[in-house]
Amino acid sequence: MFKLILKFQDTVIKEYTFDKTPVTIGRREDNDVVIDNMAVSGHHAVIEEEAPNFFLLVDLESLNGTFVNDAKIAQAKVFDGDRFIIGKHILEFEDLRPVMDRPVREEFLDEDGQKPPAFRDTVILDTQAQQELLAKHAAERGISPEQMAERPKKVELHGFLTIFSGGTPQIIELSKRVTTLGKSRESDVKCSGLLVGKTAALINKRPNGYFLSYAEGLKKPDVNGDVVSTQVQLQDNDEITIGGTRMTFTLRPETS
Amino acid sequence: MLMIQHGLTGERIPGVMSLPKTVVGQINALRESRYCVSGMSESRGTNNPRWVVTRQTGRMEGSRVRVECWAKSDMGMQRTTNEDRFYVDPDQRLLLVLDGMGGHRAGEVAAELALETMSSFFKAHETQKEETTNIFENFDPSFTYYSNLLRQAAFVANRVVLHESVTRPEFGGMGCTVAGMALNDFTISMVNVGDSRMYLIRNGGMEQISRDHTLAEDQVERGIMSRQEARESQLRHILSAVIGVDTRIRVHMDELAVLAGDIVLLCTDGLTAVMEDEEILTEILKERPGPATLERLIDEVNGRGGPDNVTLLMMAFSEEPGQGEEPGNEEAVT
Repeated sequence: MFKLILKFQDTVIKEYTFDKTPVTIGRREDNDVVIDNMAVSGHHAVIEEEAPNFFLLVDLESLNGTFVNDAKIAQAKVFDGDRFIIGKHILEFEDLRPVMDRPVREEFLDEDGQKPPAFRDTVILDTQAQQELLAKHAAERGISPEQMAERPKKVELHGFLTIFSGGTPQIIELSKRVTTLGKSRESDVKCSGLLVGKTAALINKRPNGYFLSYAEGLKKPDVNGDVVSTQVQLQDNDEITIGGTRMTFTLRPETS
Repeated sequence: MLMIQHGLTGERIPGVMSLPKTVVGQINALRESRYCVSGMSESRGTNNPRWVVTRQTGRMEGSRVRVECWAKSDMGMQRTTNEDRFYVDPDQRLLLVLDGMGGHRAGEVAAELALETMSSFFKAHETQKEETTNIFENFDPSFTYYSNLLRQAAFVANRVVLHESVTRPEFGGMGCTVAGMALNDFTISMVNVGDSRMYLIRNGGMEQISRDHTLAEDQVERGIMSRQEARESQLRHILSAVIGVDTRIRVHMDELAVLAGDIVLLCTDGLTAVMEDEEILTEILKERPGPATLERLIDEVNGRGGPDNVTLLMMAFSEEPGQGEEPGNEEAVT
């Protein structure tokens, strides 16, 4: 099974997928791949199979010739990623068989005739090999380990709640990924009042900020006077009210 | 001796792992307490049928949000085995997607072993008890018990797969990825190891909520490549964390407050290697989410050549009918 992508000056004209051979290429209508251009012969080329598992591109003595990766050919074994030139058109060849079943160009085989690992397969490396590869990749891009160390650290903003429920205001840091607010004894922030749900609201710390969402109960949370029925991103100095409990949300840069 | 193949040079490197005694002890204990049982009745994907669909409806524990869940696994067009596995427990409290790797069916063994271990470990400790607190190696108090439990389950699965890999030559070098979620009280706990992904679809947008453990992603985090460059980089095929290869693993852990209307997708790289995020989103938003959504996605992937196994697990959250009429607490209006 293979795919041919017909291109003219970088524009994809058509894509073909074939699961059997021969596949004929030419100007006439009876070809499998029809290229309607005078630079293409009526029957220009054909793709055939050759044992054990090769695909073969054969030029049918066309007037302007057939090229594989810019080399003129009479016939040639073709491999995944090859580029054919037929007249002024380009055909890109993709081998759709599993990687293990595809042949490899002779020059890519190692001394024992073994296939190298294919890039498209997922591979696993041990930690040391990973670090070496990452450093090598960074070096290729002109970034030295010293430069890496000098990169400024991102300033992280931390969220806090100041809770006013009679008496001294209480400040808690929103260090948990999800902070629960409600009547339940398990809630991180206890909220009192008629119709306040066991879990009335949640504050979710996300990579891009803190989000307050309504959970359950007839009494929905209120942020700066607006009732929250779904979710809202909290801003510095937002006033939150749940039943009889009032809170202020603040964001501060990471400091001890 | 376990050998690992270097992804770029093809050179074979001796594996650096020797199992500490304590780890072996823990695995034996696990065996004796029959955590690694097989033949559980929960729905799961296997390699035999071309695909499996499960559909379940349940309520999220402690909440008024309805959960519907569908999963489907497909061998794809070019592989002859399916090394992906998925797991959905009957209450939808635990959901896993795994992608096995390793030759001669070892990938299937790794994925299955990790699935059995994680699900049974999680189930055994699901109800929080005093004596279960000592199962954790490093409990992170900024996360819920369930997130910590899920992460610990991944740690244990890592050792079980690694132990099998080093003691049985035919399974040498096997491993698997995992993307897992646990649902509890309006909160999704999630962990992932490797490049199987989790997405949140909310308000018409889609966001990746897992973290890829690939060298490409590492370079993005270190500021050496842009995210766009990483999509094309060969480094994206090299995993920096995987279950069953090293005694120490990175597990990404996060929590999400769930809203009615949310859709969550867990998938193996068979999907994401072929389709762009925007294309996946467009396909999901075409119709109301359901089993047909997964079929459309898999058809699309297979239509583009289906180079790998694809496994999809999708959850849709909706408001429980009657919500708002019932008071949310015992102090009801009289």
